[in-house]
Amino acid sequence: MILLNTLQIAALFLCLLLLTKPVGLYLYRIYETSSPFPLLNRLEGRLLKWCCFKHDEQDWKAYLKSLLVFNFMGIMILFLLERFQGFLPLNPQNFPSVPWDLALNVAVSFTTNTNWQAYSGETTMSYFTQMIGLTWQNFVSASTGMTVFLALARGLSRHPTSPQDIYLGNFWIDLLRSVFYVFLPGAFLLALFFASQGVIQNFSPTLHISTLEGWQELISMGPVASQEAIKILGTNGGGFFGANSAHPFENPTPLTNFLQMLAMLLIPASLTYTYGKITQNQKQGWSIFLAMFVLAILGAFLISCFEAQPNPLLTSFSIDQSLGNMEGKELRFGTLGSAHYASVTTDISCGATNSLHDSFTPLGGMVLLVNMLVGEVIFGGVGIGLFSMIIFIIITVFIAGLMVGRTPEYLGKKIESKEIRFAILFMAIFPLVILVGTAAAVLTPQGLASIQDAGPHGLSEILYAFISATQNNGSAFGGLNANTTWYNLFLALAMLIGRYLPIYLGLAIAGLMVNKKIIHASPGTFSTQGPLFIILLLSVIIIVGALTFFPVLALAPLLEYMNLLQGKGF
Amino acid sequence: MKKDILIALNVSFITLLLTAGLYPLLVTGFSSLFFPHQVSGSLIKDKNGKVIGSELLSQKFSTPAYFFPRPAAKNKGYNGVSSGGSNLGPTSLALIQEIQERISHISKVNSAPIPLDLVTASASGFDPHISLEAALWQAPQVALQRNVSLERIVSLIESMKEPRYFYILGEPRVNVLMLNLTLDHYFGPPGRQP
Repeated sequence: MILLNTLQIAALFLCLLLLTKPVGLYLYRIYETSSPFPLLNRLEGRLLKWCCFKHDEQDWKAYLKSLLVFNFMGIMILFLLERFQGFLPLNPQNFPSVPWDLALNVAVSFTTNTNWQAYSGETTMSYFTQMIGLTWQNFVSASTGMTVFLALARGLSRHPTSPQDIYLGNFWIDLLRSVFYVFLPGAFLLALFFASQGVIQNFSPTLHISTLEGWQELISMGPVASQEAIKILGTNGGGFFGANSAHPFENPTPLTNFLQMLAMLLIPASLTYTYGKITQNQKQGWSIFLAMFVLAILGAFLISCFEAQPNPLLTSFSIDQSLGNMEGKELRFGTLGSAHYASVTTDISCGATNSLHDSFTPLGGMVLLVNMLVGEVIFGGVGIGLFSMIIFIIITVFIAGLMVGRTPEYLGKKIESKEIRFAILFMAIFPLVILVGTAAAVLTPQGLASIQDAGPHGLSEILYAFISATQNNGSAFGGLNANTTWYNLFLALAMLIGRYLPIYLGLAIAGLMVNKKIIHASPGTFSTQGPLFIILLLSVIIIVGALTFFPVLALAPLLEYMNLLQGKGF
Repeated sequence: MKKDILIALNVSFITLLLTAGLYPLLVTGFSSLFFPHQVSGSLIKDKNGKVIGSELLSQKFSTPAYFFPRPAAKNKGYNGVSSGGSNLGPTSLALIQEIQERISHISKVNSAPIPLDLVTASASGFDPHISLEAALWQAPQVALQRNVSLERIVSLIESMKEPRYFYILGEPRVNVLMLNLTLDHYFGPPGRQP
């Protein structure tokens, strides 16, 4: 088991390592050269003209304004699509309009790249809503993630020559290039491969069949492959079916399972190389990659060891538990393939699931919680993961500066009190929303009524929901009945705060940094590359990101583990 | 602000057209051209052309002459209308009770310890596979019911076994529906039980 575990993890991360540089270079070429493809460039020019904007650079406020207007419009369009799906085509099951609270929750969830799902796709959403609304937001919410990373990277790395150099690029161009050159071609290839393995793609109504033994059963249909590919590549995670990537029509073989993990990791990991190119410091890019890499491998290894353990409450029965913890897992993936997938999907803020996280062992579930709690920076979602990581780096540089008593500087630019204030606020948002939200749920009858499991596991269910929403992950401890007005509204609020407040603060930092003069490094400058930097960065991530949550972790998964060891159930 | 709204409308229109219109249509076109069987659900039809299931989805089996699949949670998967599992945590007494009921339901099949996958609900409720051990554990009952030697059934299971990809990915497994279809192919459909 341990050998197999090591081999599976090694295969995944070796493939990732090999792909990081070529994909990172490709991304750099797309965003940072004026015409990535001469032929397509003329088409792009026409399109921009039609959309009536010029190739103007924007300062941070204009960039943020464009982003917010576009995202707000996305929420509105999605909300209306869901409310009117009963009157729209491609609805063979004749699903009625989605209730207003759920529709709002889903609209916010897909626009913020969270893809939290309080519904089951096959019994709620028409093919039209899934294909037109949700697939569309899968593309553009992922692209929005890319834009904020680009703006921050430019703000930190540009060399100003005059006080007017305050520009961070153009939001619309960054957005459209992400859609055209990154996500559309990538998703198309991935979708075809998924289809070859058995992922369905059709518009037939649900099949009513009579089985071999004569039982009446239903087979759900739909355009799944096209949505599945972008769900994975754009680190969205919203499944076509309720069972998400556990459904054989979404993830039919161990091979698709492997590729889904790789495709989730691909763009977030490659961006570290792109970042190295943009900042002209390739070693720093690799240092960041390595810090994320270590945490990702550690998580995957730990969780698969926990999931391979037998359940102490079942030892008295005449059963063979050598497969590990199989409740809520699919046999074709086994405990290893399920545990690795769960770890990857929480690392990178994707939220696609191929097993039921709620049924994981207490310590396995805690690995998932910690993966998200550290701030979705273990690669993180496309763009937004590295965006948050850069804020962590700024804090690390600040702490290192405090230790030696120098004004901290990053990439040759001085970091001053205003930037630090914003960075600290950025870090403080997450514990604030998560802990206050969880406490509110525990203290209200509406919050408590949705719990499925008694005992400490019930607290884990609520905690997981607020972490997942605030960190824009989207996976769930699915036992919690989240489709109530209370949860739909409060989780939507958590998703909005968790997405747009950090984006606002990060872009503000970019705006403050962009016009600072570059000072040449002296021997006293803290180097943001190499082993010392990696260790310091990892410590900051763990101390700042995870330790805040230790008390609540002790009350939920750790307490559950203690009870399990004593053979106590709830 | 007005200008931003206008651009946002235009960009929404273009991205909708490409990502929600052209892209799914292209995927549908190409995939149904190259993989028509897979994209329509890997469906299995009987002699009369009636669909009896999908290679990728499990279905309910209760006749002892057939192998039975992993359980689906209450009202989920092949027991209901939507996919999913129990979501019960490892310390949940409801889970322990369900497993206990499943054990007492099938323990008469074979006195050896029951492989765990046969008493735990899958994540989708449609898990089409059981482990090799689970198939071998059920083999004596199927052999008895069909009046065939155990060796014959075991060699059939061995021949239907799906190994790990590249020796490392996934678990060795057997597809229950395909195995049962093969049984019917060789030994004929089971008669009504006495």
